[in-house]
Amino acid sequence: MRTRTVLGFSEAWLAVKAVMAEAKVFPGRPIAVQVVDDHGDTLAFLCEAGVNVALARQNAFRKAFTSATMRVDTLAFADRFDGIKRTIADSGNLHFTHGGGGVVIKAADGAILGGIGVSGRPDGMEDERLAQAGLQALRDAGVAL
Amino acid sequence: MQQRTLLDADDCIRAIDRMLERVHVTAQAPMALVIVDQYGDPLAVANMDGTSPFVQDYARGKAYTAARMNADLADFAQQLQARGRSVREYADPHLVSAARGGVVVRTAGGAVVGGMGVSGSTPEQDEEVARIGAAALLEG
Repeated sequence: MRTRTVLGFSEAWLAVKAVMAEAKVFPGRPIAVQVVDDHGDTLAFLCEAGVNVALARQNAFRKAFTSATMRVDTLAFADRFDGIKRTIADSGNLHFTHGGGGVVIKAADGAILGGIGVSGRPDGMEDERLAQAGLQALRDAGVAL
Repeated sequence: MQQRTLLDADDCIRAIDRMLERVHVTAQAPMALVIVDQYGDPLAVANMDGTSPFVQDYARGKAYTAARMNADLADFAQQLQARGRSVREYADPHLVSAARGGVVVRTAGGAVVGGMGVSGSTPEQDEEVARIGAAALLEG
């Protein structure tokens, strides 16, 4: 048997709150934020009122899922397909997405702990800034690298 | 045109934190807490460490059912039983017929703004925590 350290709910909730705090410092269109574990399964999720139901809620999950399972920030994910004449669609996974707002959570030893996904702002780089605030909170807490 | 009241992130954070406090003090098992809007779509999810995938989905089903049926699950289940009907007759696979741990959230005017679903512990504790959360949601 083996054991493995995984992200817990209290860390996930800490990250969600940090993202929402940053969204107040840097206000804009309402967002959804999701934190998933290394399997891409939900630990915590939170929406602001009026968030775009059709897009933001789904994309917050997709960004978190893509980061956690592919071990890469969504901002850099599209680059993987450059130069190999393939697209994300060729991967055949409907949950994959790219662009700013999805960040991978890694432990000090490099193990994947999960992912944070933020969606709702008109520009992916705004989502990215909010997601990074969540990751920074986990760094400050000594959880993430 | 019509006006609709919406639950915001601050309302959900206040409710989830209030429920977590209670769970940490009294609950016999970890719980999953879900807040949905009037459509049954999730606004907040808190899957505590040790909750099973079944418990997580069940909490969501309870919140969804309370919001969609505009009823606390205790009342909904009782009505079904009194009329000799099954929840499956509504032809909605997401509806659950659990009797505890699901509470509809309404404004003072009676408009449905969402549902609270709690699962993981005993039916009584699920219900108690769901009511604490539903009350906290409306404080804002």
